Amino acid sequence: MGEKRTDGRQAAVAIVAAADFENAFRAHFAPVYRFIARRVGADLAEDLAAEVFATAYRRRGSYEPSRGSLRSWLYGIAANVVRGHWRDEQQLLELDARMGAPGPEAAFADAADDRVITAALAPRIAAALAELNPDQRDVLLLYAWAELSHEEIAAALGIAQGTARSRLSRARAALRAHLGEFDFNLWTFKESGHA
Amino acid sequence: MPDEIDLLRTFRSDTPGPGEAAWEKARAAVTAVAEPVPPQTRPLPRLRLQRRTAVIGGAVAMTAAVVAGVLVSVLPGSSGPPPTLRKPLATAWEPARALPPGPTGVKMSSGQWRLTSYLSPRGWQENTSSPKQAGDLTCPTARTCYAEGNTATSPTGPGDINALYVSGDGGQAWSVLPVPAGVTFTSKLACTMDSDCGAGGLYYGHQGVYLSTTSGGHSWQVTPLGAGADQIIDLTCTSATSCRGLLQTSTSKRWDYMALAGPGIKLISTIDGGRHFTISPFPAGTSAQSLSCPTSTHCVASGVPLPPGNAGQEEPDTTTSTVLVTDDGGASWQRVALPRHVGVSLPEVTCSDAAHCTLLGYVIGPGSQSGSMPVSGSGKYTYQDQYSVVGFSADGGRSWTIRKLPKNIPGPFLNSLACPTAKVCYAVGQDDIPQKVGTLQDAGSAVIAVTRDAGQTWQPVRFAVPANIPSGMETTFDDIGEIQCPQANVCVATGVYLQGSMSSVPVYTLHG
Repeated sequence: MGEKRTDGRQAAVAIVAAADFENAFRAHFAPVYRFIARRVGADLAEDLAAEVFATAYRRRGSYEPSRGSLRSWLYGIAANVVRGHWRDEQQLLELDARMGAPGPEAAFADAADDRVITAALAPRIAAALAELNPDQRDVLLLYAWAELSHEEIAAALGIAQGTARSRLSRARAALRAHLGEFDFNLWTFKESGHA
Repeated sequence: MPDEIDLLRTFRSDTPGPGEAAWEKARAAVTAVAEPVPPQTRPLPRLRLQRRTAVIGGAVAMTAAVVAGVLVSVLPGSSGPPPTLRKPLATAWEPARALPPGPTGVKMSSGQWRLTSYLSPRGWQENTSSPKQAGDLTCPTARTCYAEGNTATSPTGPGDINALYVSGDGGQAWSVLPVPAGVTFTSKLACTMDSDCGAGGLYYGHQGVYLSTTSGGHSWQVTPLGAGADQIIDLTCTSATSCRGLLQTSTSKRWDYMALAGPGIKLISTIDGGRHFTISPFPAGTSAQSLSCPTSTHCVASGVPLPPGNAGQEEPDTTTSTVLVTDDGGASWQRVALPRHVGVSLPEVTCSDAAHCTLLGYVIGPGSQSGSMPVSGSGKYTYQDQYSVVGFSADGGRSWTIRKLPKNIPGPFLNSLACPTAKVCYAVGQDDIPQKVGTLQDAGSAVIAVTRDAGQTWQPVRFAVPANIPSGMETTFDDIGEIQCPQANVCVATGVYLQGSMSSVPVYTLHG
């Protein structure tokens, strides 16, 4: 977990002019939208993604490349906007957690299909995510879904790098604890039997 | 082997990207914002703390601050150039204003420690886009404590450390002190008496200043350091007139997202209360991050070694650190290496006297908290390999013994350290003791680690998260951010200041 990841960091570019912002918008809207949609659902994501970029445009003068990548800055705004819709995110997770996994016949018929495996695991992952506190969830999903490095997460959330690192460590530990008896070799929960 | 991150990445992985409607909605939102605003003609100053036009108070503060923040960032030049100080500015004495007492009904005790009060300022923020932390605590005496606050309302906006709170009863009740208009703090207060303090600051976000008070913060002297934005990021004083600090020059590179100052840090000294300053360099190849001067000549600095030929573009290796020692007030420095893997992600070195110093270290490397100290830098590390340690020196910082915390304080992430005597230290932060907070499972717990034998043994003091805390305050209880101990059995500690948190912060006290 302590390895440094720089693969996702793009060269920092100041976005003072409208043309620069247009470039930033084209490059980053789709992944930021998808990050939001994964957290709160597609319906709400349209509004929130629009809010993120409107906010970014208003604040573009305050973006400092030296403080972190443009990507991390945008995800920081996105995380803050999603934070304001904590209840929506929580309800969606709890809804997913209540959904039953596909029946054994589905798993048997197409056990190698990733989609079946994913669907089988989704309720447990949703339940585990729902148990995390907002700080932990922000850090974890910025790491796992947005693929930000520790440094970028720190920049995105405006926290010290050590704080980002500790929060991520604790979030991962909490997620593992909530997942319970998951066999990472067999890719299944021991008690569920889906594989 | 796959891990929980790989598993998490499968969740909702079939979520589609934006459709045409989403793109159009976003374009419309940006256009709506852009239309009434003329194009920006120049960027804001590239400073750690950016200017705000005013401190906003009152019942509609949050709304007003958001609006003001937008206007300031969109129209940076609309109010003309910011004021510049040509000569020292003295402010008139002003009274402090009382703060609300904070939530009631959740007071607790743990041994001699008490969760007794709350600091309830408006607009607490963890440091936003700047490395300066809100909540820096300074307790020069058993009764007097100061805490710096951040009035920024945007978690991703600039940090505005322009509020100062004071307690005159050992952390029980808090008041708001006046801060000169346009001033933001860039260092923790350094106090030699309960009323004599100094600090670094910025004037209207563009000019470095030295702040001093001899009235406990009711009136201030604001002395310009020069015309530029050089700013004091750490300060230590041995008397009301003799102080030394770390000066971040305006040409310095910062690694902001690492909360570290970059190359170009210098030593700044005054022996006449800020009327005159001398500035001297540190040895090449080192960026000092923290400074403690127990006497007027002996100082210990901790920092990160810079990569060879580093011009500030390459990030430092924060898994290593360097200690610098001077006996001649900074004219010459002796470099001391700490063990490999002991980094300074939260730099803090303090000396209780000329011989005894302590520092907060952070280990990243193979070898767990309960095993031996890591010796190799290769391989990937798990979070069991990451934990805080405390360094002790009995020879003025020239050699160090690194002490781990015991297994009953597992996986410690320490934020602050106070050592009122050579043997007695209090370290605060969070460890890996899970707890249930309402309906949530929290993987960590706030902890105060106490040693009375210079780190050979440690005992934890814990406070469970109270059952009936106000909504939004939960995670201010699962970590402790700052501690100050003016006497061996007198301490004040505060919870963490969460990003976006507008709530009260718990205050823990020990008055043994």
